[in-house]
Amino acid sequence: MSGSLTGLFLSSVFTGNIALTGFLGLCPFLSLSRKPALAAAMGVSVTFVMTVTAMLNWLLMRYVLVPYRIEYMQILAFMLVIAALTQVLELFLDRFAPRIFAAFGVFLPLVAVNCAILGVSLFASFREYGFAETLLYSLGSGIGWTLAILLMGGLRRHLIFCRPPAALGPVGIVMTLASLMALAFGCLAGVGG
Amino acid sequence: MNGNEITVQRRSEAWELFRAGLGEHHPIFVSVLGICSTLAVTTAVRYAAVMAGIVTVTLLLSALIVSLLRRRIPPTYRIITSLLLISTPVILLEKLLRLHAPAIAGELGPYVGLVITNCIILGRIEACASLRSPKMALADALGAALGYGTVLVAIAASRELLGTGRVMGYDIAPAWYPSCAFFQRPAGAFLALALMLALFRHLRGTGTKQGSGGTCGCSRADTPASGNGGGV
Repeated sequence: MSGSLTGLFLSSVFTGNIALTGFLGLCPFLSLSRKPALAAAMGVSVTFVMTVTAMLNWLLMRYVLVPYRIEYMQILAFMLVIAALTQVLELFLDRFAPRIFAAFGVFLPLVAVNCAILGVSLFASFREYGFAETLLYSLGSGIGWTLAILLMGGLRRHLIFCRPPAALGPVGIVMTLASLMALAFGCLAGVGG
Repeated sequence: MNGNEITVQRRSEAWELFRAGLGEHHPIFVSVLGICSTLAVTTAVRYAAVMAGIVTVTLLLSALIVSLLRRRIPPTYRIITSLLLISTPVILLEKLLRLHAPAIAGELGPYVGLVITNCIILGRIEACASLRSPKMALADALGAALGYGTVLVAIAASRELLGTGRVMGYDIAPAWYPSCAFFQRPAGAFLALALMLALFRHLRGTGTKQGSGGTCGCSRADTPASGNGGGV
């Protein structure tokens, strides 16, 4: 990886966008981009959970799985961490921050099965990122995902003025838009250095 | 699963379940599930074929086991049990792939592990295997796996041909073809899937019901989890 941490952060937001080039978290990307308010709340939940689980999973990998030579349990361990964290967070928010819970509580179970969360932890471990790199990569991926879903929401609102080919259907047209967005995000290559 | 499944014969019922995976309940085109891997591993036919194989084996094994254990799995722990059952073949297959085809394993990277979160598998288990006999579960799983695999290979073949002019190492396109690298890139993946989807809907008639943006099939796989208060 390039030595520059800023570069890593920027590339995880733009050129290496987790939704548009990693194809992760596409289910909520397709379903929630119609409702910008929900998309924003989902984006915040995803970014938070993604960053915290990536850190926890990095520590788990470094201090438990590798020393005890049980790396093959990686996927299972990562999934348990994600499930446990969302569950604990749900209880915690419900008890101590009911207003935040009212806004984000519904999204936590959905976040737990979001493949982008597991994907970021796996990618960070696959590319052998250090602690700071993992932090910036997961934070950048969360922000990039939120940016992509919000931009898609904006584009979809303009679809009411258009008459896309009937054969594409509601999913096909979003895919086509995503293709154009991926192209545009890809053109930012060089920003990340 | 049809509404008239009680009245039809057992044998044809299994056939219907199998066929639904290729047509009316197509996992990619109709339920819009498993999109992540469909887009990520389709740069070349060999990656797509390996992925389709892994998903098929995992889906068949986990559907069979869930179906055999369906009366013993308590409903509250259904999802976590299913996830554990799914992850076992995935981890084994990943080990085998690393051992026998390290180049392909390196190229697929984390996407092999992400088969666990492939919502087609959890979707078929939730919708069919956890309720029906092993025979029905296998027929249903085979249909879904075949529907997924054929589309995966078809998209990969078109992307490889348009993007590099070769398929599986054979030069197919004439020498003057400029090899449009766009189709090898993520943007091309989205477009290839959109066009394939349009073709499918055109052939079946555009009236085909589809998990539209709002009712994305994945939210179906998500709902039980939220019902359990995040029981995943």
